[in-house]
Amino acid sequence: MSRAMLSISRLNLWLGGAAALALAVVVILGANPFAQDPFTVDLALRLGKPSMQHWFGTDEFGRDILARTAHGALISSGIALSTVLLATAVGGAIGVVAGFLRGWADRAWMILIDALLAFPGILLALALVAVFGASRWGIIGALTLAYIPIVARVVRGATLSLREKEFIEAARVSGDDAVTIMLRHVVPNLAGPVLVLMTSMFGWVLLSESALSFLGVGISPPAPTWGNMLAAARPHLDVAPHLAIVPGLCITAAVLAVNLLGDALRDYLDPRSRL
Amino acid sequence: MLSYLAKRVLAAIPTLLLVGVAVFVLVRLVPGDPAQVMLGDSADKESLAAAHAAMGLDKPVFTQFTIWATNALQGDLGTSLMTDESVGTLVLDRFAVSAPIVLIAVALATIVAVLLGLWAALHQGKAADLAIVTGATVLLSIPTFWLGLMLLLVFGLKLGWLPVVGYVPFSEDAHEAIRFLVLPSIALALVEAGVLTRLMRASAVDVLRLDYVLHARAKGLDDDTVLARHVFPNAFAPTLTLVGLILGNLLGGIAVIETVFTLPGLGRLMVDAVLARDYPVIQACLLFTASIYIVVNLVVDLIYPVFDPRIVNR
Repeated sequence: MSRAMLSISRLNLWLGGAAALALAVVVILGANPFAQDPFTVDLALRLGKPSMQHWFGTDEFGRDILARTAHGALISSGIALSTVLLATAVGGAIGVVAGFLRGWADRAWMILIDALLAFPGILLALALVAVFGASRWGIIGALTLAYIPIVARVVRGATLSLREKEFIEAARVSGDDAVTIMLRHVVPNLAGPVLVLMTSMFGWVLLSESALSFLGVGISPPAPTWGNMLAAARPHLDVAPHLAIVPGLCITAAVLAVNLLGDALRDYLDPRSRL
Repeated sequence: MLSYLAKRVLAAIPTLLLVGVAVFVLVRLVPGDPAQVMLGDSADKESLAAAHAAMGLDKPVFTQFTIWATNALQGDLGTSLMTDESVGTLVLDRFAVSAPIVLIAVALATIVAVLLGLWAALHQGKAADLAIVTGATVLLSIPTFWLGLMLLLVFGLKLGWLPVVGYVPFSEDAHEAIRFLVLPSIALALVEAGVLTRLMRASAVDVLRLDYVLHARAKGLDDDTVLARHVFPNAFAPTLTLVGLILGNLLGGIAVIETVFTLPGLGRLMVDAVLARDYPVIQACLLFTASIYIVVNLVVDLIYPVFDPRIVNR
């Protein structure tokens, strides 16, 4: 490892740490029991500039932006976490079984997965929200279905190379059946790549969820999410740009922290892939 | 070579077919009766039955699919529930707005990524490299719509250089049309440029280490020639694949960008259709973008051998 690469990863760790810390501070300041309430409307304070009372200012209904940003962080990260866990469980199961057993089932799954991956970006999730409805679980369901193909593809790829390894051969020779080999030998060895994937995916899901909210098909107001705060800020961009700046900075900081953490994790687990 | 091309083209066909099935099934997943959804709760029994017959819902599912697919192949995707327009023309009209933005964004992102990626790889470990890699990582973490809003704030509202809302078609006034497209294209391009730059740098770093580059230098070629003739084509091949995949992100991201800049494009059409539960339009938008995505990636596969002929023999 050269000095140059070392300094890039060190810089990245500092930057990621700083972004995560900034975000943690926002959440603690805005969502503690003594903080402002995110739902209290005060029309006298419409589009208020930052003040001692409201550190990040107030929105178009005079609600505290700091509190809304912090609660938005909790809602968005809850949705992202549920989506990542569900998509990993289902997509991972499909990937391991298809990759390990091969054969016609594998081929059939992969054609289906490729077809689902042909729906670009958030469009599949967008269409699925129309089916499931824009409730919290509707959105988690739509995002989960949209991300399952990605997990299945990655996990299947990793399983394909694992199944040719000697220790799998050894397990097979010693008489273990397929299910035992998958659970005891394949799955634990997938932990590294899957953990890296889950980290990146958390960032992607945060972006997708905020995009859906921004488009008006995500969690609906008055519950705050970064995306619907930005959508509400758009008409007031000229007179009150702070409405748009704070939630946007938070999404960027969150995704950046997750991306840099994912890079660091990948470097640690697989030094050859170091950028 | 021919067998490589044929294999690629044949592989795309089942994917396209399944995309059709998925789009068809999606609407069947909607809870309740599609005719009821269309006509509203107040519809009486006769009009429901008439709608069922008109939509072919009284026939077996497989027959319904073959009818739908045959019509779709002939370009007949039904009529919009919102406007009663033909969905096919609606989608094409709106795509005419989105296409230039996506094309400019792809071109812009690719050029920026190739130049910055090569530059960073050449100056590996120096300040320029560090700045480019870190900058690219920050860029790819910014949500497209927020970047769009910030560009709108700075260049539209504060500096007043570019228009803020609205749209002029190319056919009316090309110069004015471009002024409306600048900010949306840049907002879309910058985020993807982050992803592409990192990949371009990584593959250029790998290529620069190879013996034939050392050989090219040793025989006295200057830096620019080595870069243009020996490093670029080999380092560009993986980036090209990603350009095809990123086009997918752009086609998806266009929905948010068109919302930020109030452009009447394909992305916005789909969002409005989702909000109005206009299923024929949702189906058509999905089918159309997925087909474009598949075809573009097929084209990328077909021109890949130009940059890396080894793929043909694999």
